[in-house]
Amino acid sequence: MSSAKPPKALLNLQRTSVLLSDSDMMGQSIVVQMLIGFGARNVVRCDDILETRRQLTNQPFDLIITDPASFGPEGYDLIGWLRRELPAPNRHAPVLIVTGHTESNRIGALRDAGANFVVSRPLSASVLLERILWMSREKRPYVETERYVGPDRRWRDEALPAGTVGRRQKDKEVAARIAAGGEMSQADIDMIMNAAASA
Amino acid sequence: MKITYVKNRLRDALDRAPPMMAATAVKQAESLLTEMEDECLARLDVLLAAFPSGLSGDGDAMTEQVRVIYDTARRMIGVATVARLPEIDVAARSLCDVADGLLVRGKHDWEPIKVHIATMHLLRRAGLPEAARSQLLVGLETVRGRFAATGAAPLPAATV
Repeated sequence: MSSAKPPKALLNLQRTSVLLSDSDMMGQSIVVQMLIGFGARNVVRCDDILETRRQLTNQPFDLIITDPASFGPEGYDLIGWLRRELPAPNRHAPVLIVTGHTESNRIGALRDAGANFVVSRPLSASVLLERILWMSREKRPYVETERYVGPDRRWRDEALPAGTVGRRQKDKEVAARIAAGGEMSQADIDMIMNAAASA
Repeated sequence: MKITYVKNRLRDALDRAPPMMAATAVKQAESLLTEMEDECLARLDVLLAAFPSGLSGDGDAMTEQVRVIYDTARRMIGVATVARLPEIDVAARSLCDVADGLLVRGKHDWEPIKVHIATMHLLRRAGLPEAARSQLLVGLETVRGRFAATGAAPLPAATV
């Protein structure tokens, strides 16, 4: 069933607490089998929104997987509620949306829901594992505005385009250290090499 | 705008567990999915049987029926692939696009829905040659192109 090549990485969900929220039991079971294959031992399954909210209110989760479309309009409000109303740590928990199809009039709601990633069904084990790995490596800050709460969608951890002057605090620090003849960290060197390589 | 930098709890949880190669994890997951094949096939049959028969009428009654059909097709996506019938996943997605397009435009046309449902029943039959299965999907793609809501993504190829 897998079409993608498994990433060459290490992953074990044995110590990860996962909340899986999907009104469709078979859809849930398919994801659960994959999570168990990845080593998960603590997966809380919810098939209605109220139970999902109750679980999120009562215990911390390291990963949340949900199919908002399976709940109708309430499903899209769930992540916004989580991001705005809940205290940390669940407020900032990584959220993966797994969905079969999104109605065209809900695409905006899906995009603005505040999830970290969206993946489509049919879902292969390779793709699910890869998305979980990506989320585990994420360093994106969370932003809160009037219209959107969630991972910063503008954020990319990459070097400046060649020939441009940096405006970020880190750019100033690197420039100051280089000017002063100070030592550079590996991250600083990578930043300069990446910029040179893209020139 | 408020910006918050947070510790990645998922990373911490993964770091606390004994390491496992990703390839091993994927293999284990696929093996567990294989055990679900029969269950998924049975579920697929239940969903296929849940499509309303004698599709006719228009107005609010049709809108309500199309919503039921959309929801049924959406629930099939993913189940059919585990049941080793990935073409039905493609057909179900196509049906979702068509039903969504009809609802968005307020169009009353049963033909594209009937074609999809009939094709899904055909795809369910054992022993249908691969060329015939592909041809059926090509036909559905043409129908989908006419009725899907503007901006619907192209259908993925069926993969096992």
